[in-house]
Amino acid sequence: MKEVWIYIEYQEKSKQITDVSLELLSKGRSLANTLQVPLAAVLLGNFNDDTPKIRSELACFSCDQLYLVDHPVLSHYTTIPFARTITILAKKYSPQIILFGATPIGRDLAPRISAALQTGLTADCTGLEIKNVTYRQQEYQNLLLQTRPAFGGNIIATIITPTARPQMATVREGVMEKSSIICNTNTTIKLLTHPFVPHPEDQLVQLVQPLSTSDTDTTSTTADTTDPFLSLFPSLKRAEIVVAVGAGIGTQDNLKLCWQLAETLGGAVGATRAAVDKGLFPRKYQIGQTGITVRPKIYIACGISGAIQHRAGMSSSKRIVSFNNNPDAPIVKISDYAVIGDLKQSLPLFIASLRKNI
Amino acid sequence: MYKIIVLAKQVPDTKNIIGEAMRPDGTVNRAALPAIFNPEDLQALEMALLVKDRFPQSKISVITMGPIAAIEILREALFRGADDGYLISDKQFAAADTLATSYTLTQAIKTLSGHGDPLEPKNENAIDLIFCGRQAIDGDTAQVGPQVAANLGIPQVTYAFEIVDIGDHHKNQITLKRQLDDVTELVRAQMPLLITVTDSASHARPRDIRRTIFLRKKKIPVWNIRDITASPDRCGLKGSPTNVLKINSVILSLEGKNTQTFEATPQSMDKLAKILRAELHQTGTLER
Repeated sequence: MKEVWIYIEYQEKSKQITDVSLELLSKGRSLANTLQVPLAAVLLGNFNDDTPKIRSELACFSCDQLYLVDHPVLSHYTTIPFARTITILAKKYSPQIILFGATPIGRDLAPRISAALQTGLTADCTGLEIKNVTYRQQEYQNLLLQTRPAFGGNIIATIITPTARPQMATVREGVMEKSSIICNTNTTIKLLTHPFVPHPEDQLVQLVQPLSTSDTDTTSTTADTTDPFLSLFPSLKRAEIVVAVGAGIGTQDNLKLCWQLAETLGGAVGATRAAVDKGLFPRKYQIGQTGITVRPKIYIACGISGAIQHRAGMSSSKRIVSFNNNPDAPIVKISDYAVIGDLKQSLPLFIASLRKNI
Repeated sequence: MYKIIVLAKQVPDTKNIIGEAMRPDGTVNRAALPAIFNPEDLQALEMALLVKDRFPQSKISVITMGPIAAIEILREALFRGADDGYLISDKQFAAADTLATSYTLTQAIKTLSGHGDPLEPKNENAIDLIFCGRQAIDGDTAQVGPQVAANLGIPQVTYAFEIVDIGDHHKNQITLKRQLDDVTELVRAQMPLLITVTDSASHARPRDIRRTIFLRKKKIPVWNIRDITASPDRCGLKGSPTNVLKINSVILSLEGKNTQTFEATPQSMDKLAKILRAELHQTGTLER
């Protein structure tokens, strides 16, 4: 009955479990059902009186077990104490699968644990399923098939960890569906508290201060000054309409037109890597393989050529509309509706039409 | 002065897929892509060079694992200011996943510190700092750095983009800024330390002309599996717990989508607005 484990990321400030952890719990539930084993959450932090609330939230996701490590040293994430503690837990309970969000924390933590456990880790998975596999004339029961884009998004690889255990993977935010919560209040979750033993090595790296992006003068591009303005738009991650800007946008006036368009539609704004590199947007607005994955109902691409890395982050949008002056751009080919021509002309006309209609 | 190691990788340039690199069926011909110095590794080298600018007695050694051709990036590193380069190359290293790669690099680091304890301050070859890029553009895993740190038993600071101070209060202390999704953190760490460098760090300085002329023919050591006393069971495909079951090419030729095109006229924009409005109604969302 080797369990499926989900590493839970907990936001210190908002006292909430992060979305990607909830997505992983949904996915983990279906993997655990296929394997007919318990699903367990692994949570480290300094929770004071919040544990009952967390337990009930995890129970909502039909999580069977919670491994909880509660200690003041764990109040803020630092690599060494978190990695050491999870390694100890994994050695003690031998889960068959451990999943992490492919977040800055998950990508910092998971490789450290995989090295300590001498097992495989697949980064940035976009698909996970359980299957029986024949590999090099050997048959394996119930392996975790881990799919991920590689090679700059030009290939999709399916990775297995045939013999080493646990099978570990980090999973991109937004690619797994969060199942709708039908909260069964009768569900109980088994709590296993585990002691934390501090070690001098825990102090080797210390947080001096967290700085918010707007506090820093380090990236002195226009991006920082526009950030408070950009943050007025809805959040990109769950937006139903996204207006995305590419390096081909041209003038500042055209950029303003994109903002007007987003405002008219009540949509979120995002950008390609090229537009971010140009300093038009802060990095957190980047859509694509190395940024955010979005799947809105309507995706409007303005001045975007449609490089594969960008398409990897938006191609599952329900409807794609593109504004581009090049009829041969790749984005036009994957668009449902393409407006060919100078953005300076097309965008104001389109905005006017939308305002008329709505 | 500090003893510094930079871990670097030669990678196919996956960001610029043009011309011959694209097969007629829309898949990518990886062999036709130019090989380049992994961009974030080059920024890691720059961060190491900034330390050396301040403490000129510091020594920077660059290590790469790869085929013989990867010697090119070591030479590039020398031209830009590194003191020496080491190529770790052996048939038995082929097809390594991140765990096997990090083991091999760890063995190379231990060898470079004279087989003594790479962390023991009394060892004159003991290492203070290891820099590497956050991730390589061919795999994008961001795993090898933290795994090397775990193997050596040293702390790590990931996603660093700026050194704020080094050795100011204490010789073995470094303060860095690191970039997380939407916050910047300031962290203080004790050396020895492994640092992974993200793309918002300074870009690499150009080649130094004098170095380029004088170091053109400098001999670069090539170490095989025996030279770094690595166990064959932990290297290459054999030492890799993960295996590639299958690979599907992403088809870049984008046939099949029925694209409706519009011109930038008031009439056709009205039409498009109408279509989108109807579709939003249909899917039951979004009106302001």
